[in-house]
Amino acid sequence: MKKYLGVALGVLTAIGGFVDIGDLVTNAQVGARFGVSLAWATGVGVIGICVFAEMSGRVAAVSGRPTFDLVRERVGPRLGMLNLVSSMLITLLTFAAEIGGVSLAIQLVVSVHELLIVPVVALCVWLVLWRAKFSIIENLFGLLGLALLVFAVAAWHLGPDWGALTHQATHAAKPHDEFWSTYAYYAVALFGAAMTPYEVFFFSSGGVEEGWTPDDIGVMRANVLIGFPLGGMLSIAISVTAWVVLGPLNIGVDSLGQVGLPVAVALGKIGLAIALLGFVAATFGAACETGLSVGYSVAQYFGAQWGKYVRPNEAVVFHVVILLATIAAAAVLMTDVDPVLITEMSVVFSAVALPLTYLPILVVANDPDYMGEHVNGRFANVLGTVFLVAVVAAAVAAIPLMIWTRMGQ
Amino acid sequence: MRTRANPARLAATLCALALTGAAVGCAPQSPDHSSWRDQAYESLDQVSSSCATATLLLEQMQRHRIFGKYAQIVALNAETNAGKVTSKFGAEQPVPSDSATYQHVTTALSDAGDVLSQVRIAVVRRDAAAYSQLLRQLSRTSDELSKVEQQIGGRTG
Repeated sequence: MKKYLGVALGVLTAIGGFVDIGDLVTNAQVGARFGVSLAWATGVGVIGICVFAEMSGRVAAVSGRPTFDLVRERVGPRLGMLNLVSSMLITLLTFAAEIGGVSLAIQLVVSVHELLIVPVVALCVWLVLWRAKFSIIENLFGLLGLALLVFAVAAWHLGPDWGALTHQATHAAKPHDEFWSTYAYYAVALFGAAMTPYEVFFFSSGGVEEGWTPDDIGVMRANVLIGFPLGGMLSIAISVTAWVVLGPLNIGVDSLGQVGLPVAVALGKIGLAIALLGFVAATFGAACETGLSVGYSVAQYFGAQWGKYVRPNEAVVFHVVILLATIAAAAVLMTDVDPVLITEMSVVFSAVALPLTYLPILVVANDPDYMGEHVNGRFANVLGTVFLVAVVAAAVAAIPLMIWTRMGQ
Repeated sequence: MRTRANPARLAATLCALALTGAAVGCAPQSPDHSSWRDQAYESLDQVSSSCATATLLLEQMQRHRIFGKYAQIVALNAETNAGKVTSKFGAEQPVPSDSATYQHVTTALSDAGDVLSQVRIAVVRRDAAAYSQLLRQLSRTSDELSKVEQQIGGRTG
């Protein structure tokens, strides 16, 4: 019974934890402009994150060691450093975006300038990362993030033409007033948003924190294969609501407040309140995950003690890195830079860093010295290679498309 | 034989580059006709989006489906976004043949910004009596923005 509860809890937190500020904004932007014609990009991204999260989770369960520790050991310090720097910079950018996202979500409740909220949010995130137990960080915000299911209810309540939506999704039909270059840019952005590197660091490091063993591989797979796809469905629900309400009015989404408007139209104040709870929980949870991921990656690379399962004074490097990352993220946001812009950039640059994140995981998962009988099978390798090609293509295309389309304008 | 770089010459070159960069940076941007037209279209499109957001917001407020503080931020964001777009476009230097269009576009953008400011003021004051009048103004503004967009023509990509 306890095992089934563990699976259920893991799945629920995976659903609630899948959506972050990048998913919220990007899916609403795409939904308002392209409907669900880019749902395939989210679908491909979800399969990709499932493939690599399963792989890194299996590595953690079998070896009992986290990703970066093995990456440095397996690919050497130079390539390991390249992997560390690229992944950490993207995760740091995402961390800033998430803290900005929490601030924007709270701003919608209290109507105070976001610059007054950012330091308070940064302090709260740091305190939670310093003091709260790992299980609370993982479960509480994941479960509260389920409030975003209100978007699925709103999509249903709005009563869209499901036939037309299905046609759009299956035919990848681009609206006539949009360019293919913009379509491609948002496809890469959605792919990057679904496969954000921190999700894998957090997932595998979390596995080590929770003491996974090979016996836990089944539960881990259930979390990945049920939780992430359902989280992806949530992303598509956000696109549907934006398409139905904002699309016909030609509203381009450039703020978090606009993302919630379709829920208000469908469900009124109660729906909007639930959506706001979901915004705060999802972004706060993601801020914690990204903050931890920055600490994990640096401490693991340098072989320092890390994690929430040891006292802070025993994992000094880990906690100092988190503190510095929090200060850096808050400092960036205090320059009055638009958090939505940081979000958009983090999503695109995530796509650029994907190969450097996922190639080492594929290499380690194929090493029988670490994995023993749990080494990658043919199916996992075919999927891993296909997605590695996809992430390389996305990485190569991301920056030129960003410049060409002026960030999708 | 390699010669050592003259520090004075290096400093002078860097200063010249910095001054050139500053001069170029301070000068108004001078796009050609086609790219100026694209920017005008894009600016009108973005401000139309802000007006449509404000319209949706007021309609939902009339139906009591949105919290006051949430509405304040949405209204403020719409106004701020329109203001940024207007000032950015206003700094673009049109070619002489586009001077008349420049007037039309900047006037339409500026008028839209004024209406969005009035929306924000009414929303912050919870002046529900003003919403109907503002919705009519927003409708007229959106029509005007669409008219100017059509005069300019579509984007060239």
